[in-house]
Amino acid sequence: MRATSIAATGMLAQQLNVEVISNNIANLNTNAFKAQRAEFQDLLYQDERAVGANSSDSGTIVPVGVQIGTGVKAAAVYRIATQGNLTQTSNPLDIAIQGHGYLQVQMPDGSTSYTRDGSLQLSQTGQLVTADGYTIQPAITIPQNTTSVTINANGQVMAQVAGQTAPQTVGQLELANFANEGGLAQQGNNLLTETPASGAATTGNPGTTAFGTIQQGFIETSNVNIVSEITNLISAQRAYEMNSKVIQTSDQMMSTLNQIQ
Amino acid sequence: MENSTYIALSGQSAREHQMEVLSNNIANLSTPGFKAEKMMFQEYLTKPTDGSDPSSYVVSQGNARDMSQGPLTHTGNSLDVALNGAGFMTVATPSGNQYTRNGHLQIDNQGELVTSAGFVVQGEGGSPIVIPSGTASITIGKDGTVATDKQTIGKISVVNFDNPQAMLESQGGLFTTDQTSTPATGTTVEQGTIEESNIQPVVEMTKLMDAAHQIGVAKNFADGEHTRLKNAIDRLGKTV
Repeated sequence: MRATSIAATGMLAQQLNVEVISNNIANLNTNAFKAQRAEFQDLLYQDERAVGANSSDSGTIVPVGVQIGTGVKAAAVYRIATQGNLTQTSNPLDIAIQGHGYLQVQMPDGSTSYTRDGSLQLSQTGQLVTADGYTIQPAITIPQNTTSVTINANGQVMAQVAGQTAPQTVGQLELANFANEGGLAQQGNNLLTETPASGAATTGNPGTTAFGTIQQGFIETSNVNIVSEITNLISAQRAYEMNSKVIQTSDQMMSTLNQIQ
Repeated sequence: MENSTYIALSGQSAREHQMEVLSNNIANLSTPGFKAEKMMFQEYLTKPTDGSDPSSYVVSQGNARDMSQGPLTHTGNSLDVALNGAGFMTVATPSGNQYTRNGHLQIDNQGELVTSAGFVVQGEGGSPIVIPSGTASITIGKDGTVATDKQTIGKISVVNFDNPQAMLESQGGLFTTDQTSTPATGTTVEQGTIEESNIQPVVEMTKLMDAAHQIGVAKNFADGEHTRLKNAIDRLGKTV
């Protein structure tokens, strides 16, 4: 009986759904985390009676056929790229990107990764680095004896050095943008990398066309909506139960058939 | 002579068929744009040559697709579109044009608007919709017009057919047909939403219970028939 294996594909799909939802809920407080959603597609159909086939010699045709579906499969797990909420931290090195764009991060192996998590730190040499100590590109060094750092909406970094009257510009933050943000590959640690599906990165200064602006003293929180995640979790659980009920019922039907004398 | 057993068997096969359709519906409970299918049966009468009464069997005749609108869920994703009303989006696949209502769209590496399987979504006039690089935001109007923050770049064409029931399902939420498409009227394109499947779990689960019950009824009937035949053989076979 195909019903058992069809329902099994349904249970597997809902299991994946719960896994994606649990990862979203686990990352509720992860800076700049983007919620994910599992997408499903129906599987191949078996034609048992073809629609449109001739049903008589006089040219009448079968208006509806018998097509038996074979279940469901996971098609994609994609990120929902809406803006997360901005939370004020008042930390001068916390920056949030309002709008499109990613900060470029130089990895230890020389490759470039991208992130929207703007909780920046200073390295021992005064460079702007991520929480993991990777350098932000283009590299910006804050001079010693700096009393305050200001980052404006257009990404200009200015340092007020002790003993000087005017703040000096020490660098310009750059953002990267992609034709298809959804195509970026997730690497963990809030980092993303470029793929053929995302397209090549285009870089530009914050605030110019197609790039977002920088908000100093703010952090972008995750865009996970806990109410909708819990609702999705409940419906996934019920769908899982329903599929298991199908397996039980088809088992019961087979057992009935086995008892025929 | 054993017609009655075979009639019960035809009922059991029909219910098994129905069970497969029901389980596929339930498995696709969270497939966007999926349409519920309903099994239809018809009576099949034998034509006895000896003048006796015809026997009636049941055969599966077809599955009707419930083309009603599925509920719209808000995702907030600028490239998720749901069709509110009848109709389909046209996608170009290697085996020709196919049609879908699953509006979870993506941009491929050439900037073209594609489905999640990577098939190009056709705009009006059959041309792909290309998003220029450096686009900051995409707006899709209710009539399917796609605009970036700078310019209008195309229109998603929504088409309909005279007989959507006659469309064949292929996998991945795609439908095929050789009917000629006409522009859909009164259908709006809703950005940031996804059309869920139109499966009604209560209906499917009650049909499931019913199918299981009916197979039991047919089993009891076959059992009774078996006992009757056995008794008949026993009695007629007695030599005394």
